[in-house]
Amino acid sequence: MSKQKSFLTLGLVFLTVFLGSQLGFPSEDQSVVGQTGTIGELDIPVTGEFARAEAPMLFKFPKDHGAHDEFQTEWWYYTGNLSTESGRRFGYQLTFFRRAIVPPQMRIERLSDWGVEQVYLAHFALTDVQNNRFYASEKIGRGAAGLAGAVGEPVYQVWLDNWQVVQLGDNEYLMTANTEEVAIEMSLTNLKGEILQGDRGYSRKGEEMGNASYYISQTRLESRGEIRVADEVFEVKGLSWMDHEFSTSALGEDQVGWDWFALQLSNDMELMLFTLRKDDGSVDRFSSATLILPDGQTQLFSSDEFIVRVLDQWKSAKTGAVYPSKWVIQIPSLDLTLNVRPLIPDQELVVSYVYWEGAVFSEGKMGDSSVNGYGYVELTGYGQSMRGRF
Amino acid sequence: MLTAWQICAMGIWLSVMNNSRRLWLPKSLVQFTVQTLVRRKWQSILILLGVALGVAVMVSIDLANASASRAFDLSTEVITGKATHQIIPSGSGIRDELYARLRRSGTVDLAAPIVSTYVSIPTIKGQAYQLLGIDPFVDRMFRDYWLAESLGGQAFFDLLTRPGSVMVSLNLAERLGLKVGGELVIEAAGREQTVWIAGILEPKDRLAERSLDGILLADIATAQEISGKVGYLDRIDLILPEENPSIAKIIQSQLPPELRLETVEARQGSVRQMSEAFQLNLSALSLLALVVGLFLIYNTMTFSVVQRRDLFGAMRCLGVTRRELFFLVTGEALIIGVIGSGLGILLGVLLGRNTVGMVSQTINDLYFTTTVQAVGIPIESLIKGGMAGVLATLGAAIPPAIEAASIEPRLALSRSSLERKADSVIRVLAAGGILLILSGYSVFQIPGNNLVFGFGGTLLVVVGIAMLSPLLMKFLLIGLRPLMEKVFGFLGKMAPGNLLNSISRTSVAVSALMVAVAVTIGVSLMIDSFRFTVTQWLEQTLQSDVYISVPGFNANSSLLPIDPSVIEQLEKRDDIERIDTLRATRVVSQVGEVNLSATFNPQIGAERIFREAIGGADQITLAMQQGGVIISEPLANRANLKVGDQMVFHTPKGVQSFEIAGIFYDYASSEGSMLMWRDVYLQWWQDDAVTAIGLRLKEGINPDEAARQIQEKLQTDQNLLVRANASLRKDVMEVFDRTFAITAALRILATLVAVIGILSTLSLLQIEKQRETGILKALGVTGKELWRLVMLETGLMGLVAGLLAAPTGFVLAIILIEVINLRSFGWTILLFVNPLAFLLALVLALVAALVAGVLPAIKMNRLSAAEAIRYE
Repeated sequence: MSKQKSFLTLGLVFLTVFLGSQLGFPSEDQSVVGQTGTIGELDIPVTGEFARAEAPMLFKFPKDHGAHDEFQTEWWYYTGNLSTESGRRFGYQLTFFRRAIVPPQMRIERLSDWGVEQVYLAHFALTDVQNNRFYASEKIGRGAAGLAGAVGEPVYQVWLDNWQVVQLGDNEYLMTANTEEVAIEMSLTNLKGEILQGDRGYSRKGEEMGNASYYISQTRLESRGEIRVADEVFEVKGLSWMDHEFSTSALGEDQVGWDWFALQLSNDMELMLFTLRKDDGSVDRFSSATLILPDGQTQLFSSDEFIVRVLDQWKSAKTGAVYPSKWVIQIPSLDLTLNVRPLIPDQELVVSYVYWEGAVFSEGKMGDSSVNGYGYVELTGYGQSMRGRF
Repeated sequence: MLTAWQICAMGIWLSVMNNSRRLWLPKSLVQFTVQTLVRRKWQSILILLGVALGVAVMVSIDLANASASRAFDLSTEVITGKATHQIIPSGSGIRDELYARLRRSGTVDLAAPIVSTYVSIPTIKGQAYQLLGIDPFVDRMFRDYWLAESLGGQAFFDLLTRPGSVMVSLNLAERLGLKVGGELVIEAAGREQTVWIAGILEPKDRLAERSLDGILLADIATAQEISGKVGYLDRIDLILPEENPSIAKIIQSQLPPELRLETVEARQGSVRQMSEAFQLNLSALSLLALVVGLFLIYNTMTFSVVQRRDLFGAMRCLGVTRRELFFLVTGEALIIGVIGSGLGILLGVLLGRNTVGMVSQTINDLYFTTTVQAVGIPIESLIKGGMAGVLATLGAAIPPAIEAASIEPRLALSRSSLERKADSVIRVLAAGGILLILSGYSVFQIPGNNLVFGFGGTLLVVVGIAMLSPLLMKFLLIGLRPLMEKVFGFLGKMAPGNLLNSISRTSVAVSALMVAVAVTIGVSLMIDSFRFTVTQWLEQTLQSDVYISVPGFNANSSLLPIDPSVIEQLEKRDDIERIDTLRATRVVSQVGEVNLSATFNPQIGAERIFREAIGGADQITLAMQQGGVIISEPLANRANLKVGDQMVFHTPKGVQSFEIAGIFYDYASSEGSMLMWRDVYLQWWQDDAVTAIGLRLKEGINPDEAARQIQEKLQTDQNLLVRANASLRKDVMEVFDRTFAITAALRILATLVAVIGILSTLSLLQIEKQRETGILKALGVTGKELWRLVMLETGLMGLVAGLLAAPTGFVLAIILIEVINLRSFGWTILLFVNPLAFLLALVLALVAALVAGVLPAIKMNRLSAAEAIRYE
């Protein structure tokens, strides 16, 4: 999934810089294509000047949960499904993106702490299933003067203003974020430790050496806390998922978007799967899936080892984009079949970039036993083509 | 001049032609009015000039005030944007971490950090530019002037990532030929620095264009580096919801003690308030010319009614109603008012070119720095001036109009009976005048610092004296008559007699001149006293031989820190006896933001003159060392503070009270200031910056020479102002004189209007006396003697005006010092009477009157006896 998300991140951060240039968040009627149009004119340093992921590295935690500023792009991606005692369900997403805008060799020591080399962007979304409501908002800020950042030591924390995830102890974290309408305050307990994706956390993306990322996940975070929707406060618990990835890489020219799935199954396993869509409608061969076993071991599946079929579609009234909204996922070698459906159809984020990221429920069979589980799906490239933007 | 029979004939003709029941149609009434004005060409011109000058002065001052206010609004508008509140520091700044802490705690969301400093561009003299450091990521919510295309992607990127990059306004770019990617040399914090142009701010409209003119926009990192304020913010702008005022309280409760949350309105209001007293003073003074003009209008209109009594009597017999006569006279006034005010507006705009600059300069010197220069002509000022001119003219014409309406349809009263009537009027007037003076005095007794009451009372007193002056004039003339006869013979006896006989009109002219001259005396005495006081104060306060500071845009003490290495270098010099340092800063107290200076000058108790203190000089110094403060008189008056009261400051270490050990006289700012012992300041603020250095040189060292040498030898990248005591004093007095330049100009204009009044009155008087003059000529009085008669008459008028003006001026000076200045600026001025002022005023009155008499005298001499007698 790393590649897909780097699509998203790069897109978002380019947009960020451009939007910053507009000094105003876009109103919803602004054309996204128009916003991205000037990115090509930006004199953003070439990616080659940043560090690249060229070989597996040895991670040290919590240090490596912090930012790796020598790479151009990095993100911390939290999603989760929660419910109240009475069974009322909520989904949330809290994501922090980092983008370096000055390559390491061009960085100079400045007297002021405010000098900008890193830009942070964050998205916070909450799905209120019962009321069929979806709340999404965005923050942007400089990774300087203590306003936004990510550090691993002495303890891990990532923050942008008062949206933050702070490590409290071993495998214990506190997450807080709020807007005028919604808020979340939750403690997270990491049940499976750090999952190193790909080869010991080194995730190849393409043919070229260095076209890869470092990728760490926490796929089963026991979550409990409070959420506020409007003036109502709910005690909730559930499961969260975290991805942390950093890279300096560009994507292929023929890719238009991706579909990403992260499912936390009832048999204590998690499935992460993505398909990359090419402009000719085919699925890219770099698409892949990972099954995380109860003990944290992983099983990788390449694009020819799984099938994703779309069963239904949903058209956004806001943007007119048409998204898939019901799927069947099959991994024949595991005898796994899962039907995946969104908890509510409209979980489209119309922030500085338009995409769909929402809570889903899956149920099906694995071998002879039935499995189910909540999860998150991300769909990009439906609002507009991603091609040529980066 | 239309004679009665002409009118009658015209009336009959008209009634035949129109077969109309009514003779005076509005159209013919207007025609008649215009004809009257055209026929009395000179009188009309004079009265027009009077009205025009009065209006012009008012307009020009109002323009200047409005421009200064607009410049302030525009300068602040662009900077405050949509902010409703500001977090301000009490002391040197808000530490960076504090802002981050506020944001991370979620206390504030719509918050924008600001670092701002005034900079100059060496190639553009005399204009302040504001280097505004913002965080572009949040600032878009606050300030939208540079929205849209002006901040293209690349400019935004460069502004963020390239140190020393700024955006400049389109106007500035065009003026200096600046291009994106080019460089510009600026001077900030006393240092010359080169900035890089990342982009051009393109305003969205003309107003925004003006506001942006004086702005250099930079990322906050660059602004900190250029201004030398690394690690500190000047303020944090907030947008708080109006509907929930409790949020402000919650935020304040979470702020560290040295930070205060203030509404933008309150902050700007307190800055504005300071200059408002000054502006109100100017406005009041500008009305003076119009008030003097009123006398002139009243006088002339009364004259023209009196002269036309026969005519009006005839008109009444032709069926013209009282109302129509009333409107006839007020119609004349209206036409004069409209034309005069129109001319006045034009003249006012021309004068405004100078006044706007003068007033702005003073306001920039004393109150606040504006970065906006061209604000255009505020139309309201013109409308206001025009309305005032027309209404004043109409108002002044009402008494004569009533008089005209009261004329019975029969032959007019004879002059003597008219003057007999005037005699009783004079007495009633005098009684009324005394009443006004008394009520003016009691208005002053109303407690509080209300400036409107102050000016109201002043107006009552001045008008009261003016009303009293016809009676005084009569007594003076009667008293002077024997002396005049002795000196000038027959003519000497005749001149006062003539004046007494026509006292109903001459007294108005004399009153007008008296008021103008009295104001001249009063203002002169006030300025002289003020100047004297300031000189004394400087003498006492400026005890060092050489002063060093960072040049700023304000004539007041600079708040910019001096490079610390400067003191080290000074310590190595062998010509210096002692180094005193001063740290001036702004802190927040229970009475708002105040200027605080920290000093460790052990003689401080002796180097200030105290209005009130806990004891002698040593006790004051001791009290300060133990934590007391001394405050300036304007601050004490403004905030109603007394010795023994507590000043409560917000310090980084908490809220702390400091006892007031003394109140010292100070004329540096009407906002006021206070002094604290440096160790006490260090203890609470932990800020060891120095903003001013005073040096005492060893015996026998020439301060000028030393200052020059220090300036040359100092190794620093700051451009410091090193001034010898004398040249600092000279600079201060220059600002002082600059401040009063406009006042001086105003009184001259008021006197000019009064001279026009005299000129107009005299020419009217002489015209009226044509017949009399003819008879005198026929009786053999020579031209030379006639000259002398006219000159004696006018000279007498001037003399009387001058004599009456002297005590009036003195009273005015006392009012200006004890009431107006104290209320406006809170400082005590020592009355310093320069007898020359009275003499000068007397000469002025005499000369003005004599000059005014020249034209009528020439005119009278030209008339042949026959011509003059043929008058009827």
